Amino acid sequence: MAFESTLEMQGNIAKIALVGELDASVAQNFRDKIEEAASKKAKKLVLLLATLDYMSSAGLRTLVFAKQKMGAGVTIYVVGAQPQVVEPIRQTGFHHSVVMLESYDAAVIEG
Amino acid sequence: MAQAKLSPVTVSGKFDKMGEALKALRDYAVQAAQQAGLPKSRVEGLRLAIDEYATNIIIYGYHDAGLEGDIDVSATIDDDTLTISLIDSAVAYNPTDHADPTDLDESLENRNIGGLGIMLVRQSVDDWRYERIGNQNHNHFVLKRN
Repeated sequence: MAFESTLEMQGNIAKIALVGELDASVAQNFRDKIEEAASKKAKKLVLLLATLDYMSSAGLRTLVFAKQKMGAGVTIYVVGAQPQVVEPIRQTGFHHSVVMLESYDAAVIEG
Repeated sequence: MAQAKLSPVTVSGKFDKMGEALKALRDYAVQAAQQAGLPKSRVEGLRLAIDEYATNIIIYGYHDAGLEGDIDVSATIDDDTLTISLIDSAVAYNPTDHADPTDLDESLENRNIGGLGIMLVRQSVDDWRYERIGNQNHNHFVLKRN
């Protein structure tokens, strides 16, 4: 499936849903959404990844970009990532810097 | 011991065709890995490895070096291994000359983002052989079947 990203703001929580396959050719699309979330002063970034079938290091680099754009204090939640997306996050140590959730947990994210 | 081979495929290494090329190479790797009977986690690892390395070929090997060319991919399956081979005519790049990042535990904003792709390749394959033959880079990614 072609890559798509959508941004929804809920207060100061930016929710970005990713669909399809995220590689270097489409990573700019994802970065654009991050820029938009930053412009809306989001303090929390929720990445909804249940519909993301694949992610390369281009996606990981965008997580670094998100911290740079949104400020080091932003909390990044990675929600519902499939095993093949979780694996590179863990292999590269990025799981230390984000909150990995199996599903959207309002108590954790919005609380 | 019969050797099974998928037919080789050639994709464009042009920057503006990168999406199509990466998708085709990922699908080829998945097909080969499934044909070799690898478990899902290894299939996914190979998909990632081929994408990561081909991305580097297209961006750094061709585009940033002002070169144009293709990427040839082929697969060889024998009793013990699956080998995916990528051949390009981009700048010479020996991956064994480059070490993996060591800052994996650093906070996100302090991470050096270089070298992640190569590290992911190394972690996904059992052996990786590189040769420079004429003006071509030959990379052979080997996964054990057992």
